[in-house]
Amino acid sequence: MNLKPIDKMTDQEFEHLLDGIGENDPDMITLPDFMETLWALRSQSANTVIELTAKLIDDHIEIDAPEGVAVRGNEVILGNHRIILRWASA
Amino acid sequence: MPVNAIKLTVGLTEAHQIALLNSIVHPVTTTPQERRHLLDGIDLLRSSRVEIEGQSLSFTNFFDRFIDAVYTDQFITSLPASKQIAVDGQKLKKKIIEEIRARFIQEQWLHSDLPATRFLIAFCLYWWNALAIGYIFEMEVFQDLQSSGLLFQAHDLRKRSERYSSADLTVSEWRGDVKSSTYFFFTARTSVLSHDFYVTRYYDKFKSQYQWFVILRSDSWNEIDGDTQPMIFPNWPANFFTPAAFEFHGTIWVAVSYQIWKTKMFAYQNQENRDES
Repeated sequence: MNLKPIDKMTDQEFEHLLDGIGENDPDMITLPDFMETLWALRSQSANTVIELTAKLIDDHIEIDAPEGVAVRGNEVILGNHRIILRWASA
Repeated sequence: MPVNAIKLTVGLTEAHQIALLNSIVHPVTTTPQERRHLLDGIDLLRSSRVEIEGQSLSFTNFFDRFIDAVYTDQFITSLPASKQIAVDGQKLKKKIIEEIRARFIQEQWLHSDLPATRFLIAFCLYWWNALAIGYIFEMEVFQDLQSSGLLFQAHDLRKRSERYSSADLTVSEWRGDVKSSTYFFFTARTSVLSHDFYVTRYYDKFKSQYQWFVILRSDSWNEIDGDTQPMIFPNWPANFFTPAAFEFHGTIWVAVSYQIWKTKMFAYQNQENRDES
């Protein structure tokens, strides 16, 4: 498949791409590539000044974070800290 | 409720898009350079904005609210009944991906009048696929540990509050995570590897199968074994049957095959039991 940017694909090419998402496994990485990728990440760090916004939606907290901040559910990875936000009733 | 507007984060280049596409179409040949572009591209997509129901949400918030909250519980609660988690999980994952695609059409979250909605569906499907693969792997590991008799405590994936707990499992005094390689890199790139160990995997393309391995802090390894070989860029070993040590952000870590780690942990727990009795 000749890869084109998403916004330059035909409808058919884009549908074909979506078909591939469930079929293939992005986790397929060889040992040398795993270690080389990890090695390359040593030079990256999350030291940007950032602003977070949190909302309570039904029974869970939703965090809006800008680029470079890893968010997973109510957990934020920030610099050298893993911050877990919990909702406490008054 | 249709999507009204998409605002992609400035800086999302064609190189980011090609890296994402390559990881979908040719994952095993995606280069480390492309993987770095992929990680950056996913971050840029996560912070891109979607306007829906009169609100502006980040792609991440959209995913959490309309995809993760709706489909992930259903996926996880269906998995534990399966004895062949990898096979059955893959089937269920595909079925749910098709449901998500259909929902995008039905709700007009993807529509031709707004071509940028393609980025939203590509992000959501990519991320949910990676998430599902991660949970299948996690359950495979829990199932294997349980059947092997190693003593451990794991969080309950069926409970949403526990799914987001800081550690996936505790073995003896060590806290760890089970992470697919995709998620492992997203964690490692933040400079924070806060746990004592990570169960992860690489793909052996000659055997066409995954090889599980464990990355653990050297002081933890010293307590259960001690011997390692140093590994330094770019001389990586062919496997981790011989434990290999490397430095990452000032900490020495050891990479070792999952089977060897498990054997050592058994011996360690047996010794602990003898010491207590």
